[in-house]
Amino acid sequence: MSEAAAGALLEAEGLSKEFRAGRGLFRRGTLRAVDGVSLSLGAGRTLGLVGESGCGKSTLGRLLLKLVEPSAGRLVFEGRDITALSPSRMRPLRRRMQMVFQDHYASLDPRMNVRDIVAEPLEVHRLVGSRGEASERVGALLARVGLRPEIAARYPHELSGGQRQRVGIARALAAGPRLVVCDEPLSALDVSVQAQVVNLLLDLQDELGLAYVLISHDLRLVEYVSHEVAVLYLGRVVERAPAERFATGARHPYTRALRAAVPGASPGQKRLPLLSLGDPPSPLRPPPGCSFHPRCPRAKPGTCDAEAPPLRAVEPGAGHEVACWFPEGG
Amino acid sequence: MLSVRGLTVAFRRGDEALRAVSDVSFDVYRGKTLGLVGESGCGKSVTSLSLLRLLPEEALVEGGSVLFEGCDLLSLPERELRRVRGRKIAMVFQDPMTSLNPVYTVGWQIVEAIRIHESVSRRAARERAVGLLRSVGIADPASRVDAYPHELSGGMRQRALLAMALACGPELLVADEPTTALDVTVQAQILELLRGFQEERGMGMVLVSHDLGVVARYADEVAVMYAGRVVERGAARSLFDDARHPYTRGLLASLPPEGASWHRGAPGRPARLPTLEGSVPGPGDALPGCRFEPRCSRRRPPCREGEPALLEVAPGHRARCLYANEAAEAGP
Repeated sequence: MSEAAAGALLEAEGLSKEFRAGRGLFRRGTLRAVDGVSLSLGAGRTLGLVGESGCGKSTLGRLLLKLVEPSAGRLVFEGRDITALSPSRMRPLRRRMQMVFQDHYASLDPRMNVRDIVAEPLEVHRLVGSRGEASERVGALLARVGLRPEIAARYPHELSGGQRQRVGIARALAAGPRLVVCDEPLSALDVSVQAQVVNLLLDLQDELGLAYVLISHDLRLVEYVSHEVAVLYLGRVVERAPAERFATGARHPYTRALRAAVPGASPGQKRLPLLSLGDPPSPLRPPPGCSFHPRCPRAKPGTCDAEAPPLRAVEPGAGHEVACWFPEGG
Repeated sequence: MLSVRGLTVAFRRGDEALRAVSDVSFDVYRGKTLGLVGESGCGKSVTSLSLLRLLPEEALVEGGSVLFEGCDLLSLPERELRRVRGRKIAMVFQDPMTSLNPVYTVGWQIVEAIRIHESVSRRAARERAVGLLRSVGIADPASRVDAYPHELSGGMRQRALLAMALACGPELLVADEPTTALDVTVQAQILELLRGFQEERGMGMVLVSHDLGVVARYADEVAVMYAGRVVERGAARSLFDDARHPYTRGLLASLPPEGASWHRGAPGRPARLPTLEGSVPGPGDALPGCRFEPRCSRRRPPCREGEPALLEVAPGHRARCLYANEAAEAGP
């Protein structure tokens, strides 16, 4: 990728994560949650990761922040290989790589008030000299995410979903990150609140030059917010392209099915040719060959069930790659 | 087939009664879907639960009627209501894990659902259960019928629940966020499946959802709720193509449009989504006029002088706004 050559903020190469899974004494297997993912993200840009539940998007998000250790592959942040860095040597880097979660009910400590929640990263990274200074910074952060100063004294359960999401964003911003991984930051929110949070994320990116990894199941939203989108299926990237190419030029049959499944707000759209799609397969027993082939309307026996297709460029220079033996026409 | 008129529900809290739903009216026709849409706290679930009197104890139906086949379900004796519930009117909720009993197999639960309402043998009921599971798109139903809920994926559980709801061939299905917890691909399959059933059997449906896209695609008629009121109601096409209430217009505008923001605003800068300012009033907030007035960009003094009625703006299309006819031209 050309971006990578120009010095990407974050680069991953062949990143994989396996979990040992077992139920009972006898059933043991390996779950390959993320399987050889390579990507690169420039400063100030947004990479969207989409896919169904179990596709590995959340695990990938955590891998990118080294919150889980990769089983294989390489991770480079700010030009430095951090793959093998110990937790203590990671710590100074942590302030520049942060995370925003879906459900701030679960991720915000219910016993801490908003002031302490937002101030914690400042104190952990020793970015403030005194409590007074911390409170001042918290006030500025809350204002920045559109919250009134009184909120500082409240507890998470006293806040609305949208307010909690803003507190989560303020906390992620506190230490001055360059990379923020947002895991389903919008899916628990009402439509009107969702739009407010989208705008906030866009404003913050504009102003602070943040790079986002935006994880979501909502392809439409991801396309709107991202520069580039990667579609994940059973731990692998099956299609990757600049966001604007998805609306008209998605090539992977899975990407097309995902797009068709998201209903837009205009009535009487065409019926979906989706009934044969079935449920996502279990990542514990991935199908042989292309892992999408059992659900794929274009699958051809002998090819698709025999060998997994590699991720290949669709057209030179377009930054568009697809992993499919028989991609749909552009 | 179902006619809701002036439904008003309050919740007792201490000495006071907080109105959750106020003067809600709509009709559901045979083979058609009514979409009940709104954001959290708007009263859509309270409305759907009151149709079959499934509200918690602290709720109080203060007024209105729910007419189904000539009977008011709100005043029917409990014993007769039980004959309607599950048989003529079935319900599906968002979370199948709490609606399915974890200690019984799904087959057993479907068999029970059938045998409560019909005198058929266990074996015949079991055969029907297998057929139902097949018809809702469960592969290998003959073995899945003996599975426990936890052995199924989320999508499978929702399908099993649907099979249970459809077991007695209901005339009306009340589906409250039936696909919210599911992946979009599974959601689409389940909603398509429901639509197939409707066409086949003429089943009516109340589809409660926060998702405007789902409602636009699957509902024939739509009622938009805000702060316990229906603020706009009409045929889906008319309502989505020509929304008249500023709240409906604001909601629709805040959906991300197709395509990437980075290529619509100034070069290299993302376009922002239009948003509704402020937040929803609580049920206890005293507002003399229109409930949406504090957030409305087109508010005028008369808006505070009493709640506007649901006025007809086009044939079969009503909006609770004094200026609904102006909204046809102007922005939200």
